[in-house]
Amino acid sequence: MSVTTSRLTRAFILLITLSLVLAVAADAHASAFWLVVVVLAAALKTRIVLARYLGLDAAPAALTGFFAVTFLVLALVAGSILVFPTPQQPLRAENHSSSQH
Amino acid sequence: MNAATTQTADAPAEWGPLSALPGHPLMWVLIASELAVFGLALLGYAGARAQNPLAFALEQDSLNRLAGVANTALLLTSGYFAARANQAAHAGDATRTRLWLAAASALGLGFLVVKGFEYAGEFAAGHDIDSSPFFTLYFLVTGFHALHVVLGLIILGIVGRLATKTAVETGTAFWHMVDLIWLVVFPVFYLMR
Amino acid sequence: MQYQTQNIAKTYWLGALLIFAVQVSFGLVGGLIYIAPNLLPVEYFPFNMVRMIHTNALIVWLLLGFFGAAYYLIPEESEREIWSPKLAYVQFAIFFLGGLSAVVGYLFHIYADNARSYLEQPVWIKLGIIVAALIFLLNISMTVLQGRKTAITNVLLLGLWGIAIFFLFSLYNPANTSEDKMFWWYVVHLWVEGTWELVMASVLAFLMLKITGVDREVIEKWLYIIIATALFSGILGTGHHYYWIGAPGYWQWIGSIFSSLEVVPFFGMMIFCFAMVWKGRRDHPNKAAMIWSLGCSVLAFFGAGVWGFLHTLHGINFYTHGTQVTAAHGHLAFYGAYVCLNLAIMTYAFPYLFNRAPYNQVLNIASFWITSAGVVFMTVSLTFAGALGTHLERVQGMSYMDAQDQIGLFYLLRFGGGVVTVLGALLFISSLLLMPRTKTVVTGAIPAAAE
Repeated sequence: MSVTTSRLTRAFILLITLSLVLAVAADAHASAFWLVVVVLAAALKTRIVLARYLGLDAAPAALTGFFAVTFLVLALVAGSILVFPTPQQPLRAENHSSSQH
Repeated sequence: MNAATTQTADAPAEWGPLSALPGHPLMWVLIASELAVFGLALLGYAGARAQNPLAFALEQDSLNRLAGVANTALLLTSGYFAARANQAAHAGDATRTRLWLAAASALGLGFLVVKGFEYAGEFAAGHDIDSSPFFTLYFLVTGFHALHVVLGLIILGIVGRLATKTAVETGTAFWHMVDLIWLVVFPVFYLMR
Repeated sequence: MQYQTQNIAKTYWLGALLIFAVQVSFGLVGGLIYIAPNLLPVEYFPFNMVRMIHTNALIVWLLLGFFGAAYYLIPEESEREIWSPKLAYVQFAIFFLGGLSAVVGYLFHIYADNARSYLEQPVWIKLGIIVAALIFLLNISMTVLQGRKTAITNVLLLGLWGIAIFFLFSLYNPANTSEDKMFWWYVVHLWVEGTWELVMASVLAFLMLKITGVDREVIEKWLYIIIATALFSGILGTGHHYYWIGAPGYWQWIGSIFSSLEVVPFFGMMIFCFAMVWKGRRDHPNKAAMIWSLGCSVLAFFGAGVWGFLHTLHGINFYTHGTQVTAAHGHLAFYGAYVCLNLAIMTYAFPYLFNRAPYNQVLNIASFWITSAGVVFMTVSLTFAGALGTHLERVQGMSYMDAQDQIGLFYLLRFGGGVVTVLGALLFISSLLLMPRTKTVVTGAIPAAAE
């Protein structure tokens, strides 16, 4: 048993906390800053799942490799959003304000 | 299947770098393949979005973000239970292994129920797999992921019956992979804009 | 040769080599029609018939080769004689005569009304093929079930059963053209990018086991990883044939994503072969078999993997669909993956079958380089033809025949590559047929059966 129960539980609590951060970040207005927050929080979650849930703590090379893949995918999608931003349209603002209530 | 039963007794060094990983090495071949498929699909999403960011943003806004967050919590908790099942299996406690696996499966089922309500709402709003580039990708990727949840539930059922160390390690590795993929799919479709 | 019934392979392979010669000859005729359409009398050599013989003969001889490979390697792997040698010869007679009469029938314009590429055989020939396949599966399954079970025979059996099962879709001809195409790919794609890959992986594994002497355990693990990735990518990879044929649009994504990964098993097989040869302690005297095996894995990687990937993404295929890019890919993929595989196992086994091991292999090795150079040259010419044709026709909007005129030079070059290929193929065949009479014996001990 490579991961003790307390480490596992700490990982779980951290994962749920990060999910809340993500949820808050998502409801905040879309901007480059929040996009980066979302990517970092999501990437950190994948790393925790890989290391603790999947037990890759015991295999550091595999942890690095798999994490690189998940991080790269998130980063590339975020990068493309920064390069091709959503044009600000009246329609969109209207839609957004309704979801704030 | 034959492979799994004949190979488990082998010395660990024979699988090369795969030997260091928990569970059956071929499961890790599958995990890597799945990550590649979902990774390519999400990069395809980025490419398709770049051609029409506005349409994507509007349709993205129509998704039920709360359901997505709830599903994330369900899967993460389920994953925690599965990891506990793995610990119990290592301790040789078959009963507790099965209980943790049952709890993990119940939450997995909950994920599917939430996803089902989401899909029903989206269909009612007139969206389907052919209605727009965004929804084609959305239904393809989340649907394919949901199929993996179903397969994962079956696998958890099978390894719960066996309740051996290697079986549970292998089965829960699949389950964590399903979890992991959701952690990438969810922010891309629901949150990143 | 350790088992008497391995001799069955001899019959199959000699039949295969005969049809191989027919296949490449008609390829040459087809290539000639491209550059000089009126040179041969059209009533005797209509292009559609020539093409049909070229492609059908290819499938028939490759299958004969696979059958031969199964009859050769299964006794050694299962450590017992083939269950019924008599049935094996009956099967050969049905299959060979069926295949031959189909090809001869084409010359007299006898083919199925609802013809689909590769599946133009009349229904009664299709039924004959199925009967032969059933006899074959019964025979080898009984042998394997009664004998030692190895990963190699398991994978080979899985592949061969799959070949037979997917062939059944050739009997189903929906009237709807889109559906017709979809089921056609159930045969064609799930053969060459599914079940045939299993056969390829297991035969390569057998060859590596024998030639390099690397431990069976190591080879089996590679085999499992290769077939896992082949099935994972290949089955849904069928989607790359469903672009714009009337199938729903989401197939563009499924096809693009999964077929992109189809390169993985081919890459795996290449790395596997080189790693085994590198690691192998054994200095096997049959260098020609080793060259064909390595060549097989490399050319399959480029032909099936890289050349397939070139036009598998739907955004690219939108322009290249049905151009010479497909022909370029088809030639190198079939040659690298399946022709080389058959020639490799034949090269390995013939000296044992004729009690002539080891022997002078200069002709055989030369034929590898000549044939491969010819096919690669054809592939490159057709790639240029395809890229240029795509641009002229699909981007600039030139009419089909005008675009064809513009790429005529590449058809001429392709014909040159075809001539070299046919010479190389004939050299290979003669090297095997002359071998029983060869006197030159290279010094070096024959290694004991590998384990």
